[in-house]
Amino acid sequence: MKALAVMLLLVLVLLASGGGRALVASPSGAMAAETVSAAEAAVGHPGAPKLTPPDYPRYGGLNSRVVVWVAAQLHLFFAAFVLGVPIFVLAIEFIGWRNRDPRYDRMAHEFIKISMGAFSLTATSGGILVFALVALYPGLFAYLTGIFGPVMLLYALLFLAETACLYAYYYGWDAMQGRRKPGHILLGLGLNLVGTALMVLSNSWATFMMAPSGVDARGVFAGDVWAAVAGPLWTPLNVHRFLANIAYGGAIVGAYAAYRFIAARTPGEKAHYDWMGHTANGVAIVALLPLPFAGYWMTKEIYDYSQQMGITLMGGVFAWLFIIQAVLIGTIFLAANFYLWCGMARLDGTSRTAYLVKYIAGVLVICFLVWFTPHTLVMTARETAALGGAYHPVLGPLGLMSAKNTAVNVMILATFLTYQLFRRSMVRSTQSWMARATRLQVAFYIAAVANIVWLGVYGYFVPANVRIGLSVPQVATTLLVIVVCVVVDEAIASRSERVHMIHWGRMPTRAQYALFTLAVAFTWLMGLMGYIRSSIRQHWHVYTVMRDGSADAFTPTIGHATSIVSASTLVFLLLILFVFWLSGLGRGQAVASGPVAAPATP
Amino acid sequence: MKVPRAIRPILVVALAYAIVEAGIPAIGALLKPGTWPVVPAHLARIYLFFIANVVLLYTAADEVLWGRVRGELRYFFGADEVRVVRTLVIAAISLAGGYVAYDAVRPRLETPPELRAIHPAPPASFSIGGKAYDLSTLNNPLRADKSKFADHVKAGAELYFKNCFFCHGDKLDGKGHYADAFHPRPANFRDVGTIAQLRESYLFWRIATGGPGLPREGWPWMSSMPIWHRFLSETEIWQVILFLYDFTGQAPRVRDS
Amino acid sequence: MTGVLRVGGYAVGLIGLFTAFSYYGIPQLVPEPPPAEEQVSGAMMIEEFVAAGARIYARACVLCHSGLGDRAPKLDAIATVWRERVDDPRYRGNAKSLEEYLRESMIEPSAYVVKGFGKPGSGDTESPMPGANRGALALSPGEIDAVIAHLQSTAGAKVTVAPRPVPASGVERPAAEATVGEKAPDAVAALQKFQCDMCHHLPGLAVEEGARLPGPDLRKLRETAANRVAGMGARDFIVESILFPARVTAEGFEPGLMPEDYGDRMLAAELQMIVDYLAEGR
Repeated sequence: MKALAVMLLLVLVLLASGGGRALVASPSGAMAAETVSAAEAAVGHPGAPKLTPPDYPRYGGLNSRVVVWVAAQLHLFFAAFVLGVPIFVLAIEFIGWRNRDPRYDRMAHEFIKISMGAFSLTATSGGILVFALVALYPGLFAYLTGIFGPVMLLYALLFLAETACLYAYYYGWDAMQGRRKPGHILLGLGLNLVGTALMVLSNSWATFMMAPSGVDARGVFAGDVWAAVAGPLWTPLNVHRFLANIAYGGAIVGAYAAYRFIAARTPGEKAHYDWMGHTANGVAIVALLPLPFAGYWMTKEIYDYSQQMGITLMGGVFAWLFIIQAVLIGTIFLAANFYLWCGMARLDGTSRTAYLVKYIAGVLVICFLVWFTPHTLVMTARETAALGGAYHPVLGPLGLMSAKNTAVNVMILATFLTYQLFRRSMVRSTQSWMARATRLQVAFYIAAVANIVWLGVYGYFVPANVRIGLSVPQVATTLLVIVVCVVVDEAIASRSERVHMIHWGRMPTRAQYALFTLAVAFTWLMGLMGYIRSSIRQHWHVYTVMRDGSADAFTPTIGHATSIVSASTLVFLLLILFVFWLSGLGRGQAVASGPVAAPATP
Repeated sequence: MKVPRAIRPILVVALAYAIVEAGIPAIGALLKPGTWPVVPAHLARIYLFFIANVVLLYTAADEVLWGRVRGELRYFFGADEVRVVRTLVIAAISLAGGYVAYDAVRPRLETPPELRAIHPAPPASFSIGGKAYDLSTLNNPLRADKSKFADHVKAGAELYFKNCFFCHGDKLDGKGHYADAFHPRPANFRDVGTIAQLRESYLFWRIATGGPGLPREGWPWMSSMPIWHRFLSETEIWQVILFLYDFTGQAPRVRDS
Repeated sequence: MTGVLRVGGYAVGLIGLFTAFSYYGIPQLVPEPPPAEEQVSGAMMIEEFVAAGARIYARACVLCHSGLGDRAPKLDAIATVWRERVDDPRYRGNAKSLEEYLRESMIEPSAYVVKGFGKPGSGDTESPMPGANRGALALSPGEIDAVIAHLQSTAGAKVTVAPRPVPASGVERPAAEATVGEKAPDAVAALQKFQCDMCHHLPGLAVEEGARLPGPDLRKLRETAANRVAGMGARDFIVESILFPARVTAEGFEPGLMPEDYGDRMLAAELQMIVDYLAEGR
C-alpha cells in the first residue's frame, strides 16, 4: 500500500515538474522570439532569463523563500537519513552474516525499519519541494529543467528503482535468510548504489547553482549535460554529503534507540536498545571523524572556484556562522564523549583505566577552546588598549588554521581513545607480548600527538599554500593511529580472556539524552551548514549567471536564518518522533530475548 | 578536611576562571611586556560556559560520583544543622546574580565591541576610471617577465617608502609612525594571517580602492587606507604588491587548478 | 506518550539554546543588500524609471542629441512642437500623443524629419538616425519606455509611460559593458560599434554618395594621413586624431564635434584594428 502511495506521489511530482515547465515555457518563449542572438540560435538554448519581481508569483502573505527553504531542508533531512541508514545497515548485516550472529541481523533489520517509516516522508517532502519551486520560482525551475531535463528524468527512474530495492530489501529480510543471505546482501548493495546515484544526481543541481559549468557567461547551455553535472564543486560535495549522511543516519537511529530505551520496561529490551544506541553512536562518530577534512576540501574548491565566494564564506557575515558551527560541533563531541564515559558503567567494577577519563576531558576542553578561538577577536576599546593592539599574543596564534587543524586531530584522537579504553577494559592481558603491544600503542599515541602538534607549529613558519598542505599528514597521522590501534586491539582481544562482562542496559537515562543531543545537534548543524553553502551564492540563483530578481534576494541576518533552521529542525524532529512512535506500536515482546550480557560490538 | 564532592567541580571551574582571567594575560604579558592582554569578555564567557559544561558532564558520567554529589547536595539543601551556611550560600548566590544583572545593564562610558572582519569580501569586479577588473581572473601582470622582476621590486620599494611606510612601517610590520593613531591598526604584512592568505588580486583591489572601496557589509570599517588609484598608476600598485611579498618572504595565495 | 513529550520538550529546549546563542551570542550584522542592477523593472518608482531613462539617453542618444541642435534636433521643446509636426503634411506616421510620437520617432526615425536634419540629398525625407530598437543601439521596449519617460520629464510634459515588467532579455546592459563591451571582431565592426560612420565616410561602409556628414571623408585617408602633420606618420596621426580629436581639425569642419572619450571606450585591440584598416587598408 505504502509503495503504491509513493509511486502515485512520484507520478504527481513528475507531472508537476512537466506542467511547470510547459507553464513557464510559454511567456519566456514568446519573449525570446524578439531577440534571439546568434549563440542562442546555434545551440537552441536560451540563456539564463533575467527575472524581475513580477516573475515570482506570490500567494497571499506567504514568504516564498521561507517556504522553499523549509521544504528543501526537510527533504534533505529525510533524504540524508534514508540514504545514510542503508549504508551502515548493510555493513552490520554483513558482519552479522560473517560472524553468524543473529543479533546483528536483528539490529540491522530494526534500523532499516525506521528508515522505511521515513521513506514515504522523504518522497512527500520532495513532492512539496517540487511543487513549491514550480509555484514560487517558476523561472528558476524552468531554467534548471532546460539544462538538467535528462538528469531529472534519470533521477525519477532511479527513484523508482530505489523504491523497488528498498521494499524488496526490507520485506525480503525474513524470507532471504540462510542460504539466500548473499542474495539479500547483494540487494542491499544495489539499494546503496542506487541511493548514492540518486544523491550524486541531485547534488549536481545544487553545485550547478553554486558553480555553474557547461554554460557560458550568459547562461547559454552548450548542450553537454555531463559538463553541467560535473562542475568544480560536484565531487567534494558528493564526498561530504556521503559521509555526513552516514553520520546523520547514525545519529538519528541513536535517538531512536535512546527513545526506545527510555520507554523500555524489561531488562531485555533495555539491553537491546542500549546496545543499539552504542552501535549507532559509534557509527555517527566514526563517520563524523573524516567530515572536517571533507569540509576543508570543499572550502578549498570553493575558494579556487571563486575568490569572492570563498571570502564571502570565510570573511564576512558568514564568518560568524562558523562560530555557531564551532559551538554545535563542540556539543556533538561532548555529547558523544559523555555517552562513552557513561558507558563505563556497563563494566563490572571500576575500570582500570577509568581514571584517564578526566585527562581526556581536559584535553578535549583545551582542544575545543583552541578550536573555538576566532581569528578576529571581538574586543571593546578598553580590551584593545590593554592588549596594546588588535593582536593577542596568546590567543592570536590560536586563531589560525594550523592551530585549529591540530586541535581537531587531537580531539578526534582523544575521542577515539575513550572508545578504545572501553573496549580494552573488558580484557586482561595474559601474555607478555600483550603488555608490550599496549606500551607500543601508548608510544604510538604520544608520537602521533607530538607529530600533529609539531606539524601545527611548523605551519606558522611556512606560506599559506604549504600550510594548507600540512593538514594532510596530520590527518594521515590520526587515521594511522586509529587503524593501528584497532588492529592491535583486535589481536589482543581474540587471544585473551575476558575479565569483564558488559552489562548492556546498565546505563543511566541521562546518557540517552546525550544521544538525543547528538541527533538534535546534527540536524541543526546540517540545516545551518546547508544554509551557508546555499546562501554564499548571495543574490544569485545560479552564481554569476542567473540573478535572483525576487524581493527575497537579500541575505538575511544570522538570527533570522537560524530561526528558520530551528523551525525546520523542529518540524523534522516532531515528524521523526512520530515515526519512532509509529514503529514502536505493535511491537512489544519481539526483543524480549535481547542480549543481557554480550561481548563488545565491532 | 576532605573537600566534599559537590565542591570540586566548583573549584575546578574557579581555577579555570582564574586561568582565563589572570593566567592567559600573565603569559601574554611575558610575551609582550608592558601590556596585559586580557581574554576578551565575549570569548571568556564562552570559554567558561564550555568548561563548566564539561566539568558538569564529567561529574555526571560516573554513576558513583554523581550519586555522591547528589547525596551531598540533598544533605546541604535539606539538613537542619547546616541551615546557617545554607542561608549564607543562597544569599551569596542571589547577590552574585543580582550583581551580574546590574553589571550587565549599568550605563558605562565604553564603546561597544568592534566587529571587524580582517578580510572583507571583495566584489566580483570593480572598475577604475572606466576600466573594469575581474577579480577572479586578475593576475599580477608584472610576474610574467622574470627578467624585470628585480627592477619592479625596487620600484615597489621606493613607492612603498614614499607612500605606505608612514603607517605600515619600515619593517612592513604595521608599526609605522602614525600606526598608534589608528584603530584598528594598520595591517602587519609580516603576519602569516594577512597577505600570505590572499591573492594578489585581492591586494590590488584593497590598495586601489582603499577604505571607501570596502563593502557596506559590517560597516563601519574605520579603515584609513586612502584610495590609492588616485595617486598611483596601475603598474605602480602592482610593483608595490611585488615588493610586499618579496620583502616579507611571503607567497601570495595562488589559484591552483 | 510521556516519553515522546519529554523527549520533544528536551529537543525544543536544545534548539532554543542554539537559536538563542545565534541571536545573542554573536552580533546581528545586517548583510549588505544585493548590489543594484541597472534595469528597468516593474517594481521601479517613477523617479527611478526616469533616472534610468536619463542614463540610457546619456549612453545612447546624447552623442547626436546633445542639446545644441547641431547634429540632431533639440528635444527640450518636444512637449509642444510634436503637435505641429504631426500636423505637418510631411508627417508620415500615425502618432496621436507625445508618447506615441516619441516612440515612433525612435523606432521609425524617418516618419518625420525635422527640416535641415535629413540625410543630405534626401530632401529631408530620410533621417540619418538609426532605429533605436535595432542595430548598435538595440534598446529593449522597456528601455525605450524609460527614454520616453526621461524625455517627457525633461520637456516638462506629464510622464505617461510606466515601468512595465520587461521580458527576460530586455533589460538594459550595465553601462560599463556598453562602452567597453565585447571586442569587435574586425575593423569594420569596430567602426560600426563606435558609430564612426554616422559622421564620416569610411572605406567599406556604404553611405549614400554625396551625403554631407559632420566629419571629414576618410576614404582617402590612406594616402593623405602621412602628410597632414609634419613629422608625424600616418599611423600616429590616425591614433592621435581618434584619441585627441581636438588637436587637429580638418579644414572646413567645425572643431569640437568629435567626442573625446574614445580613449576610454575603445579597447586597445579595436583601436589597433581601426588604425590598421584606415592606414593600410587591412
